[in-house]
Amino acid sequence: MSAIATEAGLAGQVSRSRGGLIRQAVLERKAASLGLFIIVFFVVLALAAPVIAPYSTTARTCAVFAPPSAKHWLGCDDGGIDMLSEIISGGRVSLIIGFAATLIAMLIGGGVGIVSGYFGRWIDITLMRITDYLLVIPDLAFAMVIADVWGPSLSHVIAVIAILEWATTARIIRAQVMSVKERVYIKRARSIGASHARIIGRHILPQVGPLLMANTVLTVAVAIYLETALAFLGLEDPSKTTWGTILEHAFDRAAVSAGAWWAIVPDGVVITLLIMGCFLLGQAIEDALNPRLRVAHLSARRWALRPLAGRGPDAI
Amino acid sequence: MTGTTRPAAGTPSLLEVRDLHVWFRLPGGGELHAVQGVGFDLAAGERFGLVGESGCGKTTSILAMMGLLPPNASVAGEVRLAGTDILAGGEDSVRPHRWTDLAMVFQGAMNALNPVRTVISQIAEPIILHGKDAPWAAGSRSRAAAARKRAGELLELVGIPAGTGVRYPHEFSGGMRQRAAIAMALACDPKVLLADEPTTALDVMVQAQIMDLLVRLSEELGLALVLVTHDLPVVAQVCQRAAVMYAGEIVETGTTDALFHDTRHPYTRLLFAATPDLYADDEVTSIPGTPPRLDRPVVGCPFLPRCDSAVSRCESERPALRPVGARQVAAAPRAGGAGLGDDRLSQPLIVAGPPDGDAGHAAACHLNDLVEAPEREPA
Amino acid sequence: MRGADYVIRRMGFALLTIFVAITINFFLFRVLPGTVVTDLARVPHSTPQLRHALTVEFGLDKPKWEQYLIYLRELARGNMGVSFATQQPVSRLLLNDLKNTIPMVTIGTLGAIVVGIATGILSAWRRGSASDHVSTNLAIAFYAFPTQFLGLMLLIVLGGLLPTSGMENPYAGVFGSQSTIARMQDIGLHLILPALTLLLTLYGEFTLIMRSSMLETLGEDYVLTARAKGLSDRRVIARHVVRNALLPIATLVALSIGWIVGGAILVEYIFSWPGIGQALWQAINQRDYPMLQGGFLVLAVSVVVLNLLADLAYFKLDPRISQ
Repeated sequence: MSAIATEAGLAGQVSRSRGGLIRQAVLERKAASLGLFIIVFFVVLALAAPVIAPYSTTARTCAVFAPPSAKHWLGCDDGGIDMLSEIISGGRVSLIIGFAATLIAMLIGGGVGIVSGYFGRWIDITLMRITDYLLVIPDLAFAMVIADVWGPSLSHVIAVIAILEWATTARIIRAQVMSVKERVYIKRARSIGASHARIIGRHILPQVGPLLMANTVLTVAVAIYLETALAFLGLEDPSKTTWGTILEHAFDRAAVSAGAWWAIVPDGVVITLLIMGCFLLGQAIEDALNPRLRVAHLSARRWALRPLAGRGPDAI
Repeated sequence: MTGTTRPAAGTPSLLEVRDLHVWFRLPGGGELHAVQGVGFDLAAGERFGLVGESGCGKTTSILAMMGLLPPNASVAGEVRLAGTDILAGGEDSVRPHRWTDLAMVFQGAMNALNPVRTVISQIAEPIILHGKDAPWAAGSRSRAAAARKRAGELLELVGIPAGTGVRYPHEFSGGMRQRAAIAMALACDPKVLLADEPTTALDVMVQAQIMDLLVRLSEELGLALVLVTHDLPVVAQVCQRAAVMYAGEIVETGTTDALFHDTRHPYTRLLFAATPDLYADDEVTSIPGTPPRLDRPVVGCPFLPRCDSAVSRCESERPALRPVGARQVAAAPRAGGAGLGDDRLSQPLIVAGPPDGDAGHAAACHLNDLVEAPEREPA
Repeated sequence: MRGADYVIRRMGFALLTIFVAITINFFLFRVLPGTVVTDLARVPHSTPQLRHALTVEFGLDKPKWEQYLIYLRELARGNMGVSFATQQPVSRLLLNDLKNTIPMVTIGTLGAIVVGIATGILSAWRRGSASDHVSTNLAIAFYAFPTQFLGLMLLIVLGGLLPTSGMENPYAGVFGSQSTIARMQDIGLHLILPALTLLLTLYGEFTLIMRSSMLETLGEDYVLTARAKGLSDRRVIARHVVRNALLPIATLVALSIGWIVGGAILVEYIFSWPGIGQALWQAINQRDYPMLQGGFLVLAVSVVVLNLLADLAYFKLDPRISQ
């Protein structure tokens, strides 16, 4: 892993406030609220998918590449399946994959990061060497190879994504833990004999929690992206409908030549929206943890001169 | 502002600051009136101290003199250099005077130098820019070389071997960085050097060296110095005149001698009392309370909440900076004024008189205007 | 030379990482069950003679650790085996593919960096203005668009104007040989859509990081010093701000290399660009395991090398790095 990625930018950000203050700071920002709204929207959509989707996603209900109409708001795909239903149901599967993979990656990455940062020394060195190598391997290429060796089932996709993503989180959490560990109250707790578990549970986790949250949200975005990429390359179970396979079908069956933009655009838009939502929320949490109060010493606008109205000549 | 502080009679003023005001627009709306009518004169070779607590506006004042304010700032007042107001046209009129007439050494020179460029290149940069190197016919290469040579000379002047200039700032110690910053400030032979807390965050030995350096430079080069600091003993050693700032305005000014031995403002007096003296056994007192908020207009004297000598007039009328008269000790307190503590009596009651003696000594306190002993509340 | 030990250490680390990548590669393809190598019956079009030849060449009947050594020995000779699909040496095929990938990816990535830096600087300078908001939101949007979606959109929008598949017109040289210039032009036209897709997918992150880095740098004390020295705004920005603000970009480039490779794979797939990404995909499709193994190794090694270059570049830019 390149040294600069370790040193620059991954130094622990000190979170001085408790969870409540951070939550407040995050929600104050418009970007965060928008991001949260988008994510919640899609989660609700996914949960309600079986009820909301107007048509079946397996049975033909319209003509091949039928354009949007009153009956089929987003038209139909290459197999005569209603696009809107596909997107709603596909979203459910994509979100499941994304959240499951992220959860696993967070558990492993958070755990490794905390253990590595807290205990240090040879545990740290060993674990960090492992993450070093994992971080160098190109994500998609590795995912392709694994997906091929293991087979394209959805659970394999989840596993592959989790394997790829835990290392980044581990690094970030480790840096944060290392900086928190040096604080006076931790040393005090250790000196009075608090057990490791207690220190980690009561002192370190709350400090690391918000950063972990930010990272989780951002990782969901990456997981969704990887799922769509793998599906697009044909490495996912093609019989399942996910946002990724929708685009894959569109490309494979030459939707572009057929002029069937509805088979491409809505799907791409929802993927983009979800990734954007995760990005906005994750960034907002990170910003709230690391407030920048700097004044710019140089700017396009300038200081203003006020005339000395009503002041007479200085009397000396 | 009706008073100002002036150099010794007969010396022409190099720099005249008149009625300087700075406001900052606040993000939530509203304005912070950070500097409220600051003014002083400075002669060539003179060393002038600007003293006060953090947040009193002293740094903002000198930044304003060079026009180095952020976009949310507004400035009023005049800064006259050889008679011309350099602030009159805003940023564009003040920029040509930067470094060539007025130069600055910033607080915490740790970060004042660009970490990715060598020290000597940063000293040479303004020399090349302002064309202050000797005229040559040849092109840029020899100009750059001459600038570097001059930069090396400046480093030697401040006590750094010229050869170390090729290093980067992080390779210098704190004291060396501060010296390098001073060398850089001298690069274009300025007439006035504004030094903002040049020795804070340095250890005591280094502090003394830097101060000696500044005094030597001022004496040898005729450099006028404005020393901004909260460190009174330094001002006493280094400066000939000084001004004490509080809540954005000057509350007392005069020669350092007058300030120390004929203190006319309670804040100045309390500041001295708050300075620890290594050799004395006095208790170190601190001034209770905090400075007033500057985002609202102040009614009465801004120091009133923390003052130990206030009179009723202080509540309603803001004192102006006025020349002080001779000090006279009043008679014993009136009958009925029982309950005055001993400490209050030890403070001589001041009476106004015709301005005489040191004409440059001014203070913004009602106690200097009284014609009779004040009415005081029983303790 | 300053920090010679740092350079040597980073190079040593890179070599070690390459070695680990090689080992992981071996593990993935030879040791894990279910790969074709462990079960030669799965080799497509295999004849008993081919299977026997493969067994001999790669020592497949020997114990694993011996195979590992043979593998290393062959690799040192540049022998990565023979492609099942084309019966050509893998190393020769991959080298050719690499030659095709590099120009396309370089142009796309450099373009993204340049566009990202420029828009980031402008956004930071005009912070809070309408153009800042537009530029920043566009960057976020393009960053969020999945690469394949961008590719498909470009196909829809520009598909009629620009060539959409392959690296050059396969029929160009049919009626007499093509001049080099004409060939270059042809390749150039074919390169536009894939490189543009890569650019659009990558540039957003650079914009956001550059903007944030500029704003951070503009608050540094040495910027005030530069202003105090009488430098004009433009000079301050050029000489003191941009140079310092670029440092995080070097970090970002290093972190993005994995994503650049991923993007390249998707782009080559969409536009049938005959490069390494395409080769990798085809190898999977055709069950061409020597190609798959070789292709993955080449990609992993490329990432390590590029990371090393980025490390050295950062080291050169920032004199504070010496440990």
